[in-house]
Amino acid sequence: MIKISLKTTLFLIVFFLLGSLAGYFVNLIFFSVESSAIATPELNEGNRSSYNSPLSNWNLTDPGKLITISTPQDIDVKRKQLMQFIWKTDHLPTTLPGSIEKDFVDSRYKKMKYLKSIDKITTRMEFGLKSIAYHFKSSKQNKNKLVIYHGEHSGDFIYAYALIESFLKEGYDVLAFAIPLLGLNSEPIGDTGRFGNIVDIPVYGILTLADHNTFFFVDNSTFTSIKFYVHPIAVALNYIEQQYDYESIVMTGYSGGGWTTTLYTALDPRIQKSYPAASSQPFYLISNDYDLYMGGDYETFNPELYRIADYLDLYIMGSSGENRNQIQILNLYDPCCFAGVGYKTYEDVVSDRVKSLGNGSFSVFSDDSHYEHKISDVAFEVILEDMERN
Amino acid sequence: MNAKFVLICFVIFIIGFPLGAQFAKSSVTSSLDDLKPYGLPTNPVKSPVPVVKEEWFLTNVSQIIKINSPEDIEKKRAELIQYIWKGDFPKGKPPLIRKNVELGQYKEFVGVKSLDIYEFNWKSLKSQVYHFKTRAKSPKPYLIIIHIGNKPLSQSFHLFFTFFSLRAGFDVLVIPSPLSSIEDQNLTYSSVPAINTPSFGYLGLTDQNVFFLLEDNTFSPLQLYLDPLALSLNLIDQQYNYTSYHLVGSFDGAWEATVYPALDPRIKTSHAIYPPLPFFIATNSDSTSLRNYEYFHPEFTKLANYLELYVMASYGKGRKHMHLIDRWNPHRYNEDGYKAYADEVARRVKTLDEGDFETRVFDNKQQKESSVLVLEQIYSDIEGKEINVGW
Repeated sequence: MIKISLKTTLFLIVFFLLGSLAGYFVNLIFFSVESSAIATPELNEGNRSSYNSPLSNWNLTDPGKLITISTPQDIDVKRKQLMQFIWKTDHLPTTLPGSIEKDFVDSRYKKMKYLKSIDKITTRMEFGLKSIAYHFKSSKQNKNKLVIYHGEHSGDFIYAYALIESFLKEGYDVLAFAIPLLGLNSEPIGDTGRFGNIVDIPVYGILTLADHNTFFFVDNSTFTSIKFYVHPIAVALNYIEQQYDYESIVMTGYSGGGWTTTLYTALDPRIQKSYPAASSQPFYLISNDYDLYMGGDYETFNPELYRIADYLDLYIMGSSGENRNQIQILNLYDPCCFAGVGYKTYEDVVSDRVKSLGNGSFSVFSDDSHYEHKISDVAFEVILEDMERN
Repeated sequence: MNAKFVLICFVIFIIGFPLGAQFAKSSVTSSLDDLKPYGLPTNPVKSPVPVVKEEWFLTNVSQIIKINSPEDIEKKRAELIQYIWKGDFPKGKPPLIRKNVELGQYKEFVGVKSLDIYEFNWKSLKSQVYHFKTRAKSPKPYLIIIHIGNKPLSQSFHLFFTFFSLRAGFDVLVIPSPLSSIEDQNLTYSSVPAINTPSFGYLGLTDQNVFFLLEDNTFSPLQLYLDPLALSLNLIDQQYNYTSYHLVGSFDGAWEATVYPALDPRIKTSHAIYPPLPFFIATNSDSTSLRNYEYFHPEFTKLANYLELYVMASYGKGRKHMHLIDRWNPHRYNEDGYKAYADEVARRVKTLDEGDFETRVFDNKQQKESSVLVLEQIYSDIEGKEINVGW
């Protein structure tokens, strides 16, 4: 038995208490936040390891099985189905734009080089929506070819000033459109300048058509707002065909403008060459990509439209036909949309199917020259080179 | 003092250290400080002046509420149920029930005694409902259901609300939206749940709007938003003796806190924090919220617009539906929009004789204080008397 004096015992107790106190305060001071914090599950922000390798779910789908077009007749049928959906008839509209203002002066383009004149083309549609397109004429020796440029969700096609000027420089005329509700197509009525036309929908009340998703509320069995995206192009082309004698018509645009290019060229074989940029991919690619939203906009996930024709069918329809071809431009490192190498899952399949139909061609240009959401100078050269090719 | 004695003292000191540390840890976690009065789910960095738009008042609200009698509610409810489930309201129970699961990260909270998890699978999509039981000595006979929307439970306000309620003596059922479970599961590119469809191939379930492509005459993905609560309540009805159910949801979860009580009268009180606003407000706003599938679903909202859903959620004996709005929320420019409809909705509910609709606006720039006021409002409505949480 070890004998411990009272003094020694007190010493030991004091040291034990000192140790405990030290432990208490050290923990309180240095670890209090950690001990009370709840571990937050880390959200997967989609840190894709490489833009150069496919995502695993992409390979689950056989794109060949999704394509419903095997013959030129299938294209005709599908086109008619789309026209029925959009215009409630089986043909493109035969009407002309509501008004044409020749030699229209827009001071913003006053200093644009190689610009001879602008004609302003206005088309009025349902619910008071209107589309304003500019027909830019080149002052250079004219190549007698027309480029349709379609703007995206930034709004006004003035954002494509440099691109339009570049086409004019090369001797091409340009017919520029803005996407519905945006740019010149908006009619500000509120104090922010964002607001569009007001519509009274019995179920919902007085709505303002300022956001593309509002289109869902005005659609019904007799009308689809998809019409707003393509109708102005069709009637403007009717006018152009009547008044001009262009050798060929090509179409381009990026993002929302590229989406319109994809849909419109599928509908209208008058467009021979098309270059939709950074604008679409089949749903089996985008829905499996954490980096992407399916799109916040009505047109990008309208189920009725895509049940008639999914993107792969639309690519074929826009590429197939005599003297027709489509080069889809995708930015490999696009921070917005459709980056990476997903296109490899469908490029050959679509291309082969177009070839099997007899005429036309489809290919993808993967632009690795930059890290932006745009049509780059490199892509522009690809477009020019293809346009010069007969 | 010799060296041996000093060494013994040092050893005693070292032995005392971890015990003190452990005491510190337990005292911290059992104090109120472990639950910060987290702000309402918002980022109070900027506080723009709330804007009133004249366009909000162009709609004749009375005209677009097509509910004038209890029979109208029954009819609309039946139509909505038919649309969502293509048949009757679900009668089943959760397919997998895990009782008394490990509390894991939640064991730090003194308010929680145990946790049951109800699991749901739809094809490759998994969803979990958490049924937390309070540790309180005198548990309250009510079940609080908190719908956390697309955010994980760890989102500060949800966590605060859940565990404060447990400490206050309520059992709590935590329900996520269908795709929020993906965040909770911390999925990677290689494990995104994918569904094979004949028209579009393997669709990944990463974004609510993919549901538009899965909808057809035989199936509505809206079901995925509502099934977890419906089936869980079917189970709880059988196995527990709660006297009433009380649903709370904020932001995305406020959609469920509006739609679900409109369909299921078992919910006695429902509180929608930042409620889904009528489209005549949302489309006339600087920052529209027309984003998620479930919110602007055109077919569903044509059957019952949001004003009608508010009335349906409010109607019934002892029932109440409440909108809690933070006027200074910097992400919503339309919080004053309630002025265009709140009085008319409340009036319409009154004409039905049973139920109550109320709007409470927090005009407080201190977000944390607002969150405590929200709690007090909810507890007061549940208990039918004024409750002060004593924060």
